[in-house]
Amino acid sequence: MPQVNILLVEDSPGDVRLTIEALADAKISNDISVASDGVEALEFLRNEGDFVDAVRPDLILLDLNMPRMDGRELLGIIKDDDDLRHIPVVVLTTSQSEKDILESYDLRANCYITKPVDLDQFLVVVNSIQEFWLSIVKLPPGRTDQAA
Amino acid sequence: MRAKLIVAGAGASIAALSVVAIVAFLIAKEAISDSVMNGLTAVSTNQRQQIESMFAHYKVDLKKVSGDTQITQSLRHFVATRDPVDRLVMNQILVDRLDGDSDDEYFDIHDTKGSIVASSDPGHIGPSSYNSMLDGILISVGPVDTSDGVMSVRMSEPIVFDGRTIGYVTVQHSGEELNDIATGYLGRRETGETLIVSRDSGGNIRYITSLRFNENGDFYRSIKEPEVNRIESLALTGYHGSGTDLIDYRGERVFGVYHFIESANIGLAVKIDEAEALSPLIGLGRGLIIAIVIVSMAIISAAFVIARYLVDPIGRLTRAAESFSKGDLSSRVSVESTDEVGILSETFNVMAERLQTANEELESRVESRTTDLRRSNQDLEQFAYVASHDLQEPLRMVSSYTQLLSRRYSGQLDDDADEFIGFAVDGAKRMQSLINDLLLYSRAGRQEETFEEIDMNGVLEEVLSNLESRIDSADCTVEFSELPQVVADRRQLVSIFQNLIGNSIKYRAADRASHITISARRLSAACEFAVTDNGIGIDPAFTDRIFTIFQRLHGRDEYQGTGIGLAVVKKIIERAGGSIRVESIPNEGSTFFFTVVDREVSANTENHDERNDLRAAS
Repeated sequence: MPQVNILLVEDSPGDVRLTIEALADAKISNDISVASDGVEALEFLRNEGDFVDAVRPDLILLDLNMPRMDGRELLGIIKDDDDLRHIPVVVLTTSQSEKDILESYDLRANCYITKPVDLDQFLVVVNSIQEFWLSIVKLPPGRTDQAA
Repeated sequence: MRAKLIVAGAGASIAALSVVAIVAFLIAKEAISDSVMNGLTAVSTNQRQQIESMFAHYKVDLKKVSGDTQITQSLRHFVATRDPVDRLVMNQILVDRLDGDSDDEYFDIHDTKGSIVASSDPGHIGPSSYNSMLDGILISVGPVDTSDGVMSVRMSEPIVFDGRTIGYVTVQHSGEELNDIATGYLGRRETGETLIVSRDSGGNIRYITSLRFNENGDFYRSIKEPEVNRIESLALTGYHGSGTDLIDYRGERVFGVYHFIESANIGLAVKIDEAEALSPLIGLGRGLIIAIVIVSMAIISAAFVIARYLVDPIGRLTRAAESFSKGDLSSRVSVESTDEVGILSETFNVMAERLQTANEELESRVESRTTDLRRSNQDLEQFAYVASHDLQEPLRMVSSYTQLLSRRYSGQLDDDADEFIGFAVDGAKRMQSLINDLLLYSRAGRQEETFEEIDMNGVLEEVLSNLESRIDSADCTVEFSELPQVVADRRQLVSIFQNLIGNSIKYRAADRASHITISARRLSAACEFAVTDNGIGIDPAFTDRIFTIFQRLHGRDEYQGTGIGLAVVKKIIERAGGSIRVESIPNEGSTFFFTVVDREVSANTENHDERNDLRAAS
């Protein structure tokens, strides 16, 4: 079974663990990498710094409110980057603010999901994410040549 | 008011003065007439007496002649013998008599046939045409000699011998004395006149005295019997009388008094022109009219003065007070006198000034309070929002991991652990709920409103569809009659109804089917809706509490919920300018009434926010 690589960009360890736990029961086998803010995430995506050997993720789960570089900034950069823009970005955040929703879509997020406060519901949502994005949706094929 | 004053003043003064004038005039006229008539009466009476005395005097003199024995003897002798000596004797005696009285003109002695047998003027001797004595008239007055128009008085007296009349002696006096009597009285003035008239043999009226108003001096005139009220003819009726409406020979109206002097068969009339008699009245009348005019003008001037100093200031004061009460707090009145009106004006100004200042102070205070309030509210809102928002995250952690614990390890740890985890999970969940509701509450009514014309039936259908599953599982019936259209924010209305109907479903009675009715009635600028149910009802003691945030009347085990629903509803309604109340009978049901202001479609968000800020403070 093909493995799906997911990059989770999230600064709260508690939320990271929850998400990982939730995805653990996923039908599709997946490998989760974690970046705790936008700067780390960018290094990961560009195979820089500590992440020289990082594998290009097939899906990015992005939190908005993070230190150093927040999700909005990162989103902007990713979607501007020729190399990275094809990667689907699911904004996964506690914010329900309409402003954030609009901004995210404006920055060309693929979709926006508000994290439910209730655990059960959270599990359902994560399950839906992986069902939709990992089994229903066709992800872009990985690029063989990464360097120009 | 000024016009009324002036008209009233003028009218009253003219009316009153006119009445007084008329009365005065009439009284004066009466008095003057009386006075004139009294005067005329006095004059005429006096003149009559004078005339009669004159005749008496003449008679006495005549009697001296008729009683003269020599004359008597001579006449007797002459009648018998016709002796010229007797004549001469008689003539001489007559001549002598004549000298004694300058007024006499001549004496004649007649025989019983009428012929003049002796005279002071020998030319008279002979037959005479003068037969009056034979007619019994012993005095006649009238012009004998028409050539010079002089009036005379002729008097006759019989000469008696032995009881038999043997002849008459006649004397003719000039009429000077009579004329003097007639003309010589005080008070003749311009038109006063005494007429002495007699009837001639033809029955016509003859004027004996000279006429004052006839230049020709022709006083021997006969006139045919004239009209009624002619003073001359009245004088000859034989009666004594007077009148103020008589007419004289000129046709003029006169006041007159008339007498008839029987002894001489003459009428005496003393008259004066009505115009002259009442002439003082003209002066009086003129004077009264001038007085009326002057007094009226004085009163009108006074009215103007009063108007200026009293009415006008009062009018100005009234207008200033009116405009002040209508909202123009800057209206003042000019103070133009130091009397009570001036003081009142002054006082008004002071009071208005104070009110205006107080009002301005109040306004500025209200404004600063409003600003404070608004800021405070915003702070509060922001705090509530941020707090609940920031609390969410750690709460989520607690909640999620306790639930995870529960999932993964229930049954694996001991019963105590399960119980502990259970309470932790429950607590976290409830905290979650409370924070959620707090967020909801803080957001309620602060969202942007869009006003549109709403079909309430549509709103209700949406609500019922949102609550469909709950309605079905509770086996409720909801009905609503034709609801009106209002111009308001749709989202708010959906939220309100959903909340209220949701409550009605939740608090339904256990022993009967739940029945909910929605109705509405129009008010002047709003619409009142009512949601009625047949649920468990509310104790009247708590009808205020239920609208308070987090206040519940039942335990968590009986009915779930945080107790925020009605607080949110109340906030939304009051923010929108309406009000909410409940009427309920415990165990029978409740009805919630709320009003929705019907707005113009153009949203007035600025004013709305201001009002909302103020509401939030309460």
